[in-house]
Amino acid sequence: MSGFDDDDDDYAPPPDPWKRSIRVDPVLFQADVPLFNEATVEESAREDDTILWTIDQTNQPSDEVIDNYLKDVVGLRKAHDQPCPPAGTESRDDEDALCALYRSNFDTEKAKESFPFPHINAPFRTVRSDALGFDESEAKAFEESLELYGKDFSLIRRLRLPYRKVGELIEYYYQWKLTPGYRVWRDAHPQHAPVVQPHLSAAWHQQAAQLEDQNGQTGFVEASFSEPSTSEEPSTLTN
Amino acid sequence: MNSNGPLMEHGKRRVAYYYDSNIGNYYYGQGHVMKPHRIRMTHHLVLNYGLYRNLEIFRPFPASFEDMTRFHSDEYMTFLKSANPDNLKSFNKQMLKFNVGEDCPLFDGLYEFCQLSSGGSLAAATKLNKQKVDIAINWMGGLHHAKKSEASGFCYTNDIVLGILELLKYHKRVLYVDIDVHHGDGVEEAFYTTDRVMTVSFHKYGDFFPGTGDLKDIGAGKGKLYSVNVPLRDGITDVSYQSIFKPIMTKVMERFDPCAVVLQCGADSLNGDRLGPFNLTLKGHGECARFFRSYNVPLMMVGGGGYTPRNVARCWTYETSIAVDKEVPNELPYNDYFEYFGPNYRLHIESSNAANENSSDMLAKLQTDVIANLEQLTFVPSVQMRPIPEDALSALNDDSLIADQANPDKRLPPQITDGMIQDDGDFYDGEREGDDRRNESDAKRAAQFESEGGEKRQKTE
Repeated sequence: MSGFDDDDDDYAPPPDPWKRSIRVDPVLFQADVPLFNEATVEESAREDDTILWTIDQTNQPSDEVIDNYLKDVVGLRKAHDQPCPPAGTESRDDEDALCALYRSNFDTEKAKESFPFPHINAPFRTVRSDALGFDESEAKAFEESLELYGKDFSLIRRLRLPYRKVGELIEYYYQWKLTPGYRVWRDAHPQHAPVVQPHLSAAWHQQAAQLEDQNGQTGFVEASFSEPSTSEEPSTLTN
Repeated sequence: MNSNGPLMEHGKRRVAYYYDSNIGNYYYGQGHVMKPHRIRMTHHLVLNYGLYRNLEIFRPFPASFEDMTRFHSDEYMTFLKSANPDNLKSFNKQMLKFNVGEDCPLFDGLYEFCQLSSGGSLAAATKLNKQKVDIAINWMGGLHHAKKSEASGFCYTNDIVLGILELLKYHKRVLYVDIDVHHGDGVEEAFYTTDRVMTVSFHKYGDFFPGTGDLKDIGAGKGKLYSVNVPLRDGITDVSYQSIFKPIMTKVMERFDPCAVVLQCGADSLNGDRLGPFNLTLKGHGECARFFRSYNVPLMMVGGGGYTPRNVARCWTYETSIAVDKEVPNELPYNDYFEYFGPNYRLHIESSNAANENSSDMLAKLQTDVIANLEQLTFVPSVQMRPIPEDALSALNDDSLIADQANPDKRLPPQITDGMIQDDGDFYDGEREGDDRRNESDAKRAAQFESEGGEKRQKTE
């Protein structure tokens, strides 16, 4: 066999550049799989989760009873000027009302007596417990900020709405998008391109901090950051 | 069989559902396709379809640092806990090391987000371990790309691996099935060398993130044959998908006989996804959930990818209805995010007329190859062993042993190499995928790495 043939035998086409391999090293990459011993199964040390609703096989009321209870709750909400679902949707499941029913051992009368119900699955980490809805000036500041900085909610909070948590701004954004106000705003900004192109570089955030110092926490920032322009398409504020 | 075979009729199942309302208030950043808000949209549909009352609802306790370091390295978790958008500058080197910054941005509340996602899967696994429920759902989880010490593909902590490790305390064998359009590389890597977890992934393969998931990747060491990859091409339809999913999974259930199943329900395999090129509808996707519900085996269902939020919410709501065995009408109920589902306000989505690049011949060959590997699995101890028929024994020779034990630096003898068949490359060609941030940044990073003369880490087995 000639040397050329030998080389030909050894030839393998180079791997595709996009291909990756699973890495094997028990310390660096693999999970430490516990040994299984049926006799001594390990007890979980995890804290208990909060039960919000459960199916009680012996005591749970029928769908009809639950529907009537939820309709009564809508009446209670109306009487107390609380937000209500639109007409015709009253029997939809209501988290707080169902939790009250569960905690009242499925006694509908006892559950209704506990009204107004606490908001049991409230986003207590990302939204302050005493947070109120956005007033007109906040809504205006939010819309102006979106125009300037795009959807950088951390920056909007830092420069315009420092007394709001970032989570509150995100929650408000998704609700605002469903309002006529958003449609008006969107029509006024058909090719909305924020002055600031959000960028995750440390330098950019440092610049933001400097501007914050210059303008004060709630100061309206007219200046744009000197970020290099990107080829990113202008945001159209899709969800 | 541990699973007692599929139940022929829909049995009543107790279903636990994990949700924390904080989850929708995290934001990856402007222009980023991953939107945790999709989970809040799902929850509102579940509520307004009246499915909530058929579930057992829990707000999970957030995963602790100790919980998450059962898989992830202490150093990586310390970084995730300490770094935030305000102190980025002091973490530049670590951000590079842990792959945080581009696809996986450092956003406000990142560590809390990881705690909620992982906490849900740990809680779901614990509930199944205690035999309190038959099915446990955590749509906040399913972040299957995260590695032991590295973020990847929008995933920071691998809640699935943490959940499976919890299940392994009580279950000898756990099956992981991934129907996300992207390969479930993080989970596969974590369990690549064990025979107690079988990972099965159905995914797009060929110039597509993450670049793993070749048919030939079957595990290593004790885990050889316990990783199953089903590489697919663009445009796969419900019918094509089920034509390969059901035979393969039926064989897996028979041969591996899992004591518990984890199903990753990534919704980016649906038609109309911003990143995924598949053509599934809710019915085809949901059929996978229905398949596992028909077995009497503890089932954990988690979320995952999905970059068209309205369709993600539709999909996971539909799969929640499958779990509780309640039919839901196609007309969407009014809910807080109703307008997002316009213009048709229907639950189900249509498939498109995109070309299905998965021919029936290709799928048949793929199925044959996968099942051939599964046939090599040793039957589980609970199944009676059968002697190999003599005619099968005569077909075996020592060539495979010689090849396995040969020095990799020396050429094999001609009597072996002459009998080797070159791979026909059936499943390895793919076209350039547009609009996939993960592909682009991955390619950029690889090119940059090579231009700097970096050496790739050797794969050690």
